[in-house]
Amino acid sequence: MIKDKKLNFLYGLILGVALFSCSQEDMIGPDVNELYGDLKVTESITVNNDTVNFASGETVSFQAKFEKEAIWKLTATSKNNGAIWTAEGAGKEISDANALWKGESDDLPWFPAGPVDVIVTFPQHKDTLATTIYIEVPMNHDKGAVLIADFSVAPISPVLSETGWPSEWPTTSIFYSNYPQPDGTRYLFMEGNAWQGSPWGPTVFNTSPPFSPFIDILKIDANKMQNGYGETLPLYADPSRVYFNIMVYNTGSQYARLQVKLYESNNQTRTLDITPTWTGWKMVTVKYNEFEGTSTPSPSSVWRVEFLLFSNAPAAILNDPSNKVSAAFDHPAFTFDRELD
Amino acid sequence: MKSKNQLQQPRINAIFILIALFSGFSISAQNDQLKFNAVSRTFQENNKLQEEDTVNADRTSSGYTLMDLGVNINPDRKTEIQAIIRFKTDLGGFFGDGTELDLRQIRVKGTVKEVVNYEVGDLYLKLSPFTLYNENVEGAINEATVFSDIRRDIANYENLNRDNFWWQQGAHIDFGLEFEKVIHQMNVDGFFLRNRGTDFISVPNSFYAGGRINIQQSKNFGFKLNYINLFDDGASVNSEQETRNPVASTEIDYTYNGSGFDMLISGEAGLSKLIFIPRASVDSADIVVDPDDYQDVFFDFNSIWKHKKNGLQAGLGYRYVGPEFYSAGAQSKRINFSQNPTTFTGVNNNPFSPRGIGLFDLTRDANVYNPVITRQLMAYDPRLSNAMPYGVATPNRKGLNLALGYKSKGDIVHTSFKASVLSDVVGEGSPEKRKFKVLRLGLDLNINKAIDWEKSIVFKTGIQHESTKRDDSLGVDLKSSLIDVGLDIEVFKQFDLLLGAKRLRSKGTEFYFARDQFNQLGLPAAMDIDQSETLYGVGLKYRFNEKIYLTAQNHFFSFANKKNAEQDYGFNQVFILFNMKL
Repeated sequence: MIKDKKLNFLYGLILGVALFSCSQEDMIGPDVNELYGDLKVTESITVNNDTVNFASGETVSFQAKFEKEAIWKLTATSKNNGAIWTAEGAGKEISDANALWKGESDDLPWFPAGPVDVIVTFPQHKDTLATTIYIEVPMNHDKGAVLIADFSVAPISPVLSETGWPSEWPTTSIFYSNYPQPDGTRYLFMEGNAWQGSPWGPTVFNTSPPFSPFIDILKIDANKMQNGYGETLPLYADPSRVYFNIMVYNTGSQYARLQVKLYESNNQTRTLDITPTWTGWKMVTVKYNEFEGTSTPSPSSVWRVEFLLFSNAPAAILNDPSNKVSAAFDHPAFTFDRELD
Repeated sequence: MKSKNQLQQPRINAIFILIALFSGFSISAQNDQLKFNAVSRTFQENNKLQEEDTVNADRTSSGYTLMDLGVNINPDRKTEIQAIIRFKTDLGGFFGDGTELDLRQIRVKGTVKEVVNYEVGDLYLKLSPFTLYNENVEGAINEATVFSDIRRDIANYENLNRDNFWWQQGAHIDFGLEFEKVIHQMNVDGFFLRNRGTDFISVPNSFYAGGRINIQQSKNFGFKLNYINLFDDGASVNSEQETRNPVASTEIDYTYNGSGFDMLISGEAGLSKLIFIPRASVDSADIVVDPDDYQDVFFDFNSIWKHKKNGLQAGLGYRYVGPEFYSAGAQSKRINFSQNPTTFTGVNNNPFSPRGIGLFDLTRDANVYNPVITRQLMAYDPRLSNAMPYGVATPNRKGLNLALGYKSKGDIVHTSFKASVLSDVVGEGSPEKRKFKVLRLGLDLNINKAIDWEKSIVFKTGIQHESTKRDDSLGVDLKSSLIDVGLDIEVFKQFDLLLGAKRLRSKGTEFYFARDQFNQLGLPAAMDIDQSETLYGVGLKYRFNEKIYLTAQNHFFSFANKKNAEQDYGFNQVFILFNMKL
């Protein structure tokens, strides 16, 4: 037996604190039994609007009710191009508070007009709920935007032409539909070899590099754009408020480099280089003042936009005819204070 | 408060003088006013996936050489300026490609009137395990030298992890007072740190302030008062809210010297608050937080009995940590489990889902280590530590701890055993509480001393077994075991053969709750796992002296998922490491 008053006091203190340690509420956090136990659907999925005109501001709200809390995921998929919109949540019901669709998509492609499958899944249960809706008119993504082209039309002309959209190689800049259409219409496709630096083409002196990495160009003046602007694009003067957006597809060309060139007053130019490293389509968005250029950015004086395709291949294989380089892009547009989505 | 002194013995090397010259330093005062020290490392690794992968690379390789040059300048006897400058170049870099020159650390320290010590700049700080404490990494129980060398000299060194100190930047002062009556000695520490800088958009400046008063009443009795507060400066940006996380605690230590044994009683008790203050200048209608909801208490008392002669010791303790006890400086983890591993990030022909962090990465990948104090409870891996993922400061735990230790005469055997029987304070996601059992065993066997051989032969092993159980309709039943084994054999003088193995086995079910921005439990993810990881290491090491070694090693790692064999993978890494600390 230890006869030390301090020691015994400390032991008594510890014992007392341990015995009277706090008792608190019964449970913290979401109830796992509610979330992962058996699911009973009391009201299956319904929609308020099964034929919708998103462009006019209509929305679709979904409703469903369950007996207990459940983790759910609602997925709307376009039957035409595979566009997807999802909503996720946890609770006893799906309602317009947690599943209200305005016609947007999670990523590219955007939803076109046509039928859409809607399915609700529960990660912890085998149950599924399903319905369909029909998009009469898709969402107008270009509201408030300055669209350069959606490439649903094709006024491509020879490079020295003063009409249409001049291209160095009109036969290689074509409107294409082999990949999923990101905005619901066709897109622009460029392809070729980096041999244009040789005035005699690839069959003559093709063993004498260096050749130019340039492949093709497409020029679109402001007054020849799809929406027919004036001499210059109607952009804000403040470059920090102007965003440039473009959908770009990774065609698998290892050396593709797409360049966007903006012409401002006095032929000052600003460039943006895009090297696709992702899979499929991606919306590339940059602020106007992130374009490279030596002059002060002047969005309100832009009068021409050019799209150029280059090859980043090493000089030794730049001229290899089997090493074709391609790029696909769509829906270049300027927005103000927001990204295009 | 302990502040790790990183100064080393004065040493001037001609190479470093040359480097100092090229770095623009004046070396005219190569005496007590200017001293150099350095850490240097050359590392080359070659990695190979076991199975051919048609999407990800099957072989990878990288390497570098670096030197951290420490410069100590003493303008006078009371002031010292310390800087560490990093020179690094990638092996295979071409004409400077991949070359770095960085200021890694800088610190000024000195004494005012020979009373108050101060230091400013990069600091290493530690208070108590509930206030400011860099908890040890999981996935290691007395591990083999073949793993601990690389963990210490790469992963921990690169992340400025030293023992249980946090590397921080700010200012620290301390001073001591001695008394003739009642109190023997009192030491006072105070610090002010910048925890985080603003991003000028939505993340405000954040600071850490606190200190300790350490009163030693007598040789056998002392107590400490700790206080620390992590707080935002919301006005530094247009942030929606400010966060405060004050923690206060008291520690006591009492030693009873009995006949033939010593009895040590130690304990700490305190409370924390986590307060979110909506800022008046911002529309805060969506921020509904009652700061009173996020305060809680803890206490941790231990009694240790030490036999004075036979090397035996035993301890018993009880710990209670409330479910809403939050202490950023004690609960921030050394591993960031949200980070992707560097070696073979993608495996199994899948470029999109990075593999998880495994035993291999925990031993060496500096990128998965976390050097900063975070304000949210970080993600953890229940396979490695489900009972105490945030160390002893893990919230919502209470229970008993038992410890036994033995060190034989002649230091032939050194063993330790720890057991914890814990439970939730309140149920997480269920009214029923989980029960945790943790067993940890460590054993060092100096075989050469037992057989009286002049060269070193050391066998090391460690075992950790954890179980989590809850009896309700869905139930929780998770078991995991971690085994470490190692053997170091000094084959020739200063030339070692290193062998080591680690194995993690985990099986069962559990619900993993992610934490939301207010550190509250978010939606649970149901786990149903049956997995194992194995890491073997074999290497040769030549010790030039205590501070310099060269080693070549081959490590084999494999992961197996019995629930989904398609996720199985394995790879090996061959590396050469030259490490020097002067």
